[in-house]
Amino acid sequence: MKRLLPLIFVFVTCVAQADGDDWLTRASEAVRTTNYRGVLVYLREGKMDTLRIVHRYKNGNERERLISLSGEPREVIRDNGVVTCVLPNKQVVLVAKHNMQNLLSNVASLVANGLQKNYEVKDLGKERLADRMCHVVAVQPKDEYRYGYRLLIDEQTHLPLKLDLVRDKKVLEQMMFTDIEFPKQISDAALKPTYDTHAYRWIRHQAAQTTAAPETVKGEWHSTDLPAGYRMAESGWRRVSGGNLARQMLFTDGIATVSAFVAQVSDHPFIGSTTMGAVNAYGRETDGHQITVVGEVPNATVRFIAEHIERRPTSALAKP
Amino acid sequence: MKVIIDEKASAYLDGEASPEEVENTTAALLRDPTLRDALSRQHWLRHALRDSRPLVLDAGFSARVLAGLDAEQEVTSAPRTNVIPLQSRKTAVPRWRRQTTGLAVAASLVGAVVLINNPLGDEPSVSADAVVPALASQQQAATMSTPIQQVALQQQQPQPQARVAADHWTVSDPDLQNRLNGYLLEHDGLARGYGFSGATPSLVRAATYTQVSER
Repeated sequence: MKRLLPLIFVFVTCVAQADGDDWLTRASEAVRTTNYRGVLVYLREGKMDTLRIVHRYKNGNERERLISLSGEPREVIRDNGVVTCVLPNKQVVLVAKHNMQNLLSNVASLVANGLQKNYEVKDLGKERLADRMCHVVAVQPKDEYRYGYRLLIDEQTHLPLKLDLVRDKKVLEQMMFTDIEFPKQISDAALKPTYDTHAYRWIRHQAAQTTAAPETVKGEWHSTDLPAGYRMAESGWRRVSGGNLARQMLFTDGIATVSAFVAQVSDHPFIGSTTMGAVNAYGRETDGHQITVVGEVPNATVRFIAEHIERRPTSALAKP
Repeated sequence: MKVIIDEKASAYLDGEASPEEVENTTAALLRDPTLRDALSRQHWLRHALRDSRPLVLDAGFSARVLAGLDAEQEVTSAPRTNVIPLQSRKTAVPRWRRQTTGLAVAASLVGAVVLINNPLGDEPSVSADAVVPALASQQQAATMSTPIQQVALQQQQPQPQARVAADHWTVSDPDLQNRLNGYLLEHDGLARGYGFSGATPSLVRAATYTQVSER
């Protein structure tokens, strides 16, 4: 019997890992394909925000609206790949457009591939939240280059109802639904902005459909090294504030994501580290260009990535 | 007790209850701390969850409870025919004392607010000190001795938006802040579809962080 105990332990651990992976894969799909509306509380570093959230998935299209119930009035509306932030106090609208094609099909495989190498997934059983039975899954990082997560996933819909962002056993952020319902249908009116934004200042960030590198950002930029487990998922040019172009590279380990931006050096250089809650950014200048790395990852990760982005030598470009 | 909460709380909180209902509800509130907590909670929920406005205590609510308290005190000290009438308690109680009595009631509301503000329980995420900026004056600070009273006082005054590192970049250059916010928005948009950072939480961050992104 004593010889069997370790085997039973290994078996139970493997089953727990598989169950955890399964729950995460279901959760990553549910956040996109479930109709829901509710109130969400977001806590971090002694600050709390309350948001009302409406999410609709209809005929393959995803629409979402978040209304801030605390602090300055704000609304964020996402219509597939278009994210619109309305700031009525400033009379400003921020718009970011992204090509969402071919992304959704990648979700499950990315989650599954990234998990086992870089995280340990634990199935922690059941817990009740917002009057619903949830499954508790802990995602623990194996190194310093990523945060950990603890999720309470609704047993019926697989929607995560609570998400803790954890580092060194310290909770950095918590998001939790205090009220949630799953209507079969959500009207168009529920997804429209509250404010008349016609007279507002619109700031548009748009993916530039250029195949060749723009002249303002010379050369071919690439990453010479990445923290273990990260790989480049997407790369392209993006038109940002003021009409300038920036090269954006998105890196992911399957769970965490981080973006690097390469742009022409501006009058407002950014060198070193800055942080906003659990989001870190690191900037440096090289070769007449500003490199900025931003993501919800530890400072060590943004710094590592920023310090390993270089312009490929011209001679290398000439080689076949 | 439940009947009062379910049927009359809305009218009472909105100031639309009849004088008799106000009197009955106020009397019940004075007797029953559980009822006070329940009504306070409902009051907070109405403001924080149903209205798209920052939490502000209804000064009228405190005033109504205070008026009820004063009225009850007047009844208990009503002059009798065989004694010399004393000075009215209403005028005998110093103004500051009445203010703090009202604030004590308000503080019970805020106590509920602070408790509800930390519904996650396992982390002391929101404390009175964390959410309350500096008091408007030292005199008020001296009068309002406890943190909970300070919260109550702040809730009855216009408050500047508290800024902590959780909702803005730790750089002072507004142009740089805007650029970083723009990059974060770009990142959130592109990251959607990859892991959890690209899921709903990133939009929540966008919704909360953008509040300080523009000059």
